[in-house]
Amino acid sequence: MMIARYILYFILIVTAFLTVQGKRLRNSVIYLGIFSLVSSLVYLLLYAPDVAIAEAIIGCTISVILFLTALKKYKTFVIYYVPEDDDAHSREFLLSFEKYLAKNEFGPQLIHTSLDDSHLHDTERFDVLIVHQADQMILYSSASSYHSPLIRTFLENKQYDEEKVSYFSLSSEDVEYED
Amino acid sequence: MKDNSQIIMSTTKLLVPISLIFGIYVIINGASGVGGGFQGGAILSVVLMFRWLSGEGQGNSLVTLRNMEKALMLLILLFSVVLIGQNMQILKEYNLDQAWLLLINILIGLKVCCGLSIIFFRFVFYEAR
Repeated sequence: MMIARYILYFILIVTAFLTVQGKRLRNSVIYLGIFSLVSSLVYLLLYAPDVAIAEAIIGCTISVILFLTALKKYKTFVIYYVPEDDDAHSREFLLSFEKYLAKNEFGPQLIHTSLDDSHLHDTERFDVLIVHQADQMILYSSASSYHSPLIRTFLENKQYDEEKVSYFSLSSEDVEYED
Repeated sequence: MKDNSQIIMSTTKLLVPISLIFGIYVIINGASGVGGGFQGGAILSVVLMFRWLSGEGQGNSLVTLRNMEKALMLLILLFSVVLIGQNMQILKEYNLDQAWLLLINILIGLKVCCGLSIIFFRFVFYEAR
């Protein structure tokens, strides 16, 4: 019995480490479920069956379902793209951006549009709006989006030229922006 | 949730009756042994989540759940307050203390079920962008 408990303690430590250090969120959620299941087994071995049942249900079922639903809601990333003059540079930028999103487990959804960008600010829901004009990419992230840190890290990693790529995060006040 | 995979929908559909019976068992067993209202209620709320994941139960009304939760809370308070200071003597005279525990456990179970499912459905229906 003692040895079984120590094996379980070891599994607890390993799954906790994997949860924190995992690169993919979904795997981390699964590891968290395993962690809860093993810890409920430990409670059972420590003669606390009531706590074990509660831990198994809450930690292993409800929170895992909630986390997975949250991930499913979170993972689409809407990009509006206004190609005022399209060239190879902007296509390369978009391609690398989409690759970066896919690496972070987001589903990029690219929408080409010819509508006026100030009109888009008011009416459409987007995560990022990319306007390409006169050899310059301008990125606007929406106020209602959760994803602005992601865009910022992307731009920091790639180290684009400030003259070529600029980024604005819109708060809800300055939605009517004037260029 | 129409875009769920067939595997998840079939599996959760299979799990619904099993977890329902398990939840009721845990609530009833709580009066005499391992289990209790909170754990059983959590299992019952998982039943509602499974029903939603299996593509049924789209018409769960949040308002009904919320009203039920309030009414149950009131009932729990009422039943507890009535017996404060009685030292359970009246119940023991008529051999009713087990029945009273069972009643309180059932009420707590239903209340916890309502509360946890409100959290889940509120999150699923409204926290969209």
